[in-house]
Amino acid sequence: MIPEIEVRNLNFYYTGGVHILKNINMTIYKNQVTALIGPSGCGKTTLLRCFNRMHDLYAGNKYDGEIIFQGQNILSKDTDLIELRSKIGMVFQKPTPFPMSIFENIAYGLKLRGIKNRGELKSRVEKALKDAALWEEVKDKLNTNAFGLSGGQQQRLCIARALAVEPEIILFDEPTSALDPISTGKIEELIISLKGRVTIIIVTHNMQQAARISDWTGFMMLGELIEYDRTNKIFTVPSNKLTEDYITGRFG
Amino acid sequence: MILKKRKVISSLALFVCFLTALWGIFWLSFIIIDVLRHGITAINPSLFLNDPAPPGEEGGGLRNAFVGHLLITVFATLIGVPVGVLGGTFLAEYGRKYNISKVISTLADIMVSVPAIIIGAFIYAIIVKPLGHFSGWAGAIALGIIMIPTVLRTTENMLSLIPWTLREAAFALGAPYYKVIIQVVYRGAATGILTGIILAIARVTGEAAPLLFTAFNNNYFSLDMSQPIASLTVTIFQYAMGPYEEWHAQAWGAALMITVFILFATITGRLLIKRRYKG
Amino acid sequence: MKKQRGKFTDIVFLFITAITAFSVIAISVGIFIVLFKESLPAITKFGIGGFIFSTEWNPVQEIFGAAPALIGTLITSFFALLLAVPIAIGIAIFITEIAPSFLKGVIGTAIELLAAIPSIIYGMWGLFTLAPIMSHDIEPFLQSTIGKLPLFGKLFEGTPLGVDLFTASIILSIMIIPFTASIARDSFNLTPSVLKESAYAIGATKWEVVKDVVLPYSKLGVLGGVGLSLGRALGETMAVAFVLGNLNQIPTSLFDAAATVTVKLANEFTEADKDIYLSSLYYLAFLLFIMSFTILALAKIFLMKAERK
Repeated sequence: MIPEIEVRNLNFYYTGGVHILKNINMTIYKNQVTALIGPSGCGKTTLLRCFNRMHDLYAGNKYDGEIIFQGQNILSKDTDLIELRSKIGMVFQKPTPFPMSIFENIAYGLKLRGIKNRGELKSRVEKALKDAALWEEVKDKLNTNAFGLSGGQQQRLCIARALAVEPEIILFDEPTSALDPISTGKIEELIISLKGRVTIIIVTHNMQQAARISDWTGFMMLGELIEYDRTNKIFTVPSNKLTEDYITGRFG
Repeated sequence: MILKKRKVISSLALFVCFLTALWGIFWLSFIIIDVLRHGITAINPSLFLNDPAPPGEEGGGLRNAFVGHLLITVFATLIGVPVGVLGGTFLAEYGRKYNISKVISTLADIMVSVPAIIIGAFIYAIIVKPLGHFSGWAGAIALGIIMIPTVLRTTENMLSLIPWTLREAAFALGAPYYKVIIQVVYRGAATGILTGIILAIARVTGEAAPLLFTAFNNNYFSLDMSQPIASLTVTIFQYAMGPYEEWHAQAWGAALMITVFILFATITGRLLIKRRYKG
Repeated sequence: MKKQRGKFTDIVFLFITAITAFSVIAISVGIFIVLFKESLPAITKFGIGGFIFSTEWNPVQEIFGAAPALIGTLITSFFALLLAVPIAIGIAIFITEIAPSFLKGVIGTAIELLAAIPSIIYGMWGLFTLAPIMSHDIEPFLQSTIGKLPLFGKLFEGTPLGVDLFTASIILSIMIIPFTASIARDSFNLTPSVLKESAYAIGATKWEVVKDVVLPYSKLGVLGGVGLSLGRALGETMAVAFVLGNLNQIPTSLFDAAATVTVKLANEFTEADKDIYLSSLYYLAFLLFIMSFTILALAKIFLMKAERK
């Protein structure tokens, strides 16, 4: 088990000093799926967005503590956010295809990194689409607008887009909450198939989903990480009363 | 290496955007400072208290144009505001569910930008020509027509912002629809509608084109709206294009007064709306 | 009894509001009909092509053609847009994506004030301040630089008097910057922030996010804004009336004086002593109304589509 990210004494404040994350400590392991669960407003998405410093897009947010990734504290001022984000991809709650063709959507991140060779672009787009189990459905319409795809297909396109640049980590922010059960199933299969190749951190409010796909689960409440352990342990013998109450459906 | 290049390009592009903003501010300050600089030397009591003197004579003023402008604007407001507010009321309330309201609202949006001089030509044909002479009324009607679409659209928007549940609550007390509108909806939207009216007045105050062949001009003091009447804007046009230095100076003075009024009204309108909808 | 009266008042109120709302249709249709009716003598006399393509404007011989005025209108509007649109888009990008929040308000207000300044002020300032600067400094400078280029240089020939197409286009461009900028800003704001975030999330720079996501996403709205500004530019009267010279000729250089439809109307309407003269001016007004109405309507359709997306 190789650690990929070390979170140490992480605190996070929104504009005006609202204390959102309280002293979070956790280790996220390489090439494993880590799920963050908890009632809405518990801070799980906020924590997820710390890993690629999405909060920096908006004024007034403040981090405190450390997140160590590849030997460096990514919360430090010197961190190159563009470089960081090209190593840590993200998939959002709603599918977010860019206003361009399917091919261009996937090729976009590659082009940013300076890959201009048409042949290489083609093969890497194809590989990403295959990895995202979307290739068969779109191979004949790569040049059509991505908005023409169904919601589930769009979400897999976004996963392919994240995969194409070969990140170390992909962050998933409730990726199936806007999808129907069949599309949800496909995304879950996809995430499981990516295990062992890329580190995945997924925020979900669907406990069954966390149980089905993750190796590790963190349970959060009111900005605190209440319990963090192997998924089977959390769902069978949680050591904290709050965790037990939550997973047995007593609140949430 | 590539990353560095991308960052440089990004910073450069964003810097260019910053320059464009400076470009806008540059012209704004250039114009305002220039109007202020030229205008301030022309401001003296006789500008407001005296009527025009023959070219070459000292002490002429623009009293006739100030008064005429005020009259035209007041009557234009009396025409444009009621029609606009009531029309907007129909679109947001009684007519809400009809397609025709959407059509009217779109048409009004287009009419807001239709050249003002066209409105002048229109009024010339239906009022000035049949009556055989220019008149203050024709000018006021032309400006009133220009105000209607602006006031109507703001009213419609502001009324639509009032939550539907508020109306339902009033209906539940047994009030007829007109009372609901007047006593509940108008009250909630008052600030917004007022802002729309202020901005519409600000806009027509600066109009010259629609007055050129409606109110025309008058070198003498007149309160008779059925006769040609002077306005500041038409006077500015005439004086600025004319050959005399003192005319130019008075035109700057008039320009300053108009600019100050309009900027003041615009800022007031903005502050009102900000206080109401953001505070 | 009381209830009955309430109902009656309600119907009266409904009736009054409906009439006022429908007045917008009445006015629009009225303008169309009246302008058409007034220009009918000129339409019958000169025809459509014979009016639009004729360069003659001779009140003495009573021969009227619209070509110089139409061309002047199109040229000033075109150059104004050429100058204004990139700047307006830059301003909108600055306000929505770059400026810290306190500057956002300041610049936003400044741009709106630029829109509030009446066109007669622009025109007068153009005549007394900008035109001399143009004729003394900027235009000679352009002649000695760009003017030396082959082909392109043709646009900058002639005596730089400052009262010309170039000065008029610049003033017009300053006037329409705020319209384009404020609509572009609104369109940019319609771009879902999660879409921008996902571009940032794969490591795009701010400019790349703007160029590849925000601009393509909002192009319909921006196009609508450009259309709206074009509609405004076509119909702008006073700002150009001061600095264009009302010269009835087909310009060959940007430093030529010229006329536009609006300038012709403003200068000649009250002087038109013969029916056919006035009717020809109405014909010009009618053409202008149709042009700007069509462009504004198209722009409105674009904007509505952009909002629905």
